[in-house]
Amino acid sequence: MGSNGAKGGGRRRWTGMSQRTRRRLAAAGAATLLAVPALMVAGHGTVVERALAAAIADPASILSARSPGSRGAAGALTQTKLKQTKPRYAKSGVRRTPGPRERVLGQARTRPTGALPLGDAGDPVIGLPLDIPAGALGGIGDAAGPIGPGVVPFGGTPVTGIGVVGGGGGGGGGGGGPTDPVVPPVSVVPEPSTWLMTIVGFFAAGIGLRRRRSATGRRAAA
Amino acid sequence: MPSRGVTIATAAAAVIAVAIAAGAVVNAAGDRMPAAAPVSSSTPAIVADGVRLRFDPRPLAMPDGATRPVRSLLETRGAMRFGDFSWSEEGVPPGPVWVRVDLSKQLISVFRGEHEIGTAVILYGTDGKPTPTGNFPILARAVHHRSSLYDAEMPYMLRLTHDGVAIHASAVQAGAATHGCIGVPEAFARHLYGAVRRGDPVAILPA
Repeated sequence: MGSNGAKGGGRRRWTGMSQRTRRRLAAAGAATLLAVPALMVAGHGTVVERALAAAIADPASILSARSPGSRGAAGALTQTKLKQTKPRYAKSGVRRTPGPRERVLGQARTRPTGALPLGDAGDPVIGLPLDIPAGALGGIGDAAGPIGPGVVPFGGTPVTGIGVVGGGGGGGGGGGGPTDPVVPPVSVVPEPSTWLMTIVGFFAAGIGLRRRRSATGRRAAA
Repeated sequence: MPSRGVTIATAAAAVIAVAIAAGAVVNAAGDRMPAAAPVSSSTPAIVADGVRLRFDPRPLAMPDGATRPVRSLLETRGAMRFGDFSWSEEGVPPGPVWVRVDLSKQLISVFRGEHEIGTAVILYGTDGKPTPTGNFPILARAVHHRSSLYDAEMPYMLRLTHDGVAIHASAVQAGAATHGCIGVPEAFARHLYGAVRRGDPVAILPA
């Protein structure tokens, strides 16, 4: 790509060079060009991700980053239910007896414990239904009798201190590690090949322009 | 002279072709990077796709001192505010659902398998009526629930203890608190209600 492409004073220098030197220079240029994407990939693979990995040391730090912070001593005791219950009491005409100084919820009713409605709880005496991964989070209730088939490693990677008892019904283990969902990551930075194409395109355009210009110059001279 | 020009053009074309081929190879390698990186495991890859952050399985602390592995967390734009939540089950394979509540961070995270599918800012109990900490299976669920104790609506209730502590929808505002329940935004509560079943574990970390 050498002989035609030269600035005013450069042409003499170019033509003054031997064929071998020119070839060497061209080879060096091509090698540099080819090295760019390789370097970019290397940077992409190690430097950037290492920095990212350092910034996000563990999942807890990601959670911390999204947290609104811990609740201070200040804003924890606001009344939330009074606004709802007040008009209801006013309508019903029932006098509110001064209850304990509760600043969060409205008047708490006094009622015998153990008589709580249980919704769809079924029988609370039964405790854990069979399909609970009991002990999945450590001892819930009495973890005396493990229900599942045994300790199943989570996702195929050993992690300290986790004894996940596979739940009955086969849902628990998930077949030895969930398959990673295939979502190609979309990077903000263009792909190396995109860069390469751009660079090569510029070079090609430049070469074309120079060739045409010099060709017309020769024709004019002739 | 023309033959020389042709030679140069051919050489340039060859160089460009080689460069394009190299670019394609490099590009293919680049595409394989996230999958190939875990093999090295010294510098685990973190892949962010705008919705979630994916990484090698990392241990996440649980209340009893144990850990659970996590492969991805939802990506939030900075800190969440009261009433904010995020929910995305897209691309998450089926698996056991578990819930982790961190009182100190005022956050709830819902996981399916090793992937987080939902997170929200929560309300929790006052110092006088604290939220219990530890591990609790969900004892009962109810879309429409009216607290007989406090005469208040508690939609999408997930009961955790036999004395009535539950996760339910409430007006999540800064400065508010509960009597021990965990309050979540209503839209989040609807998602959560749909995702969990009775018996799914809920872990509550202390404030």
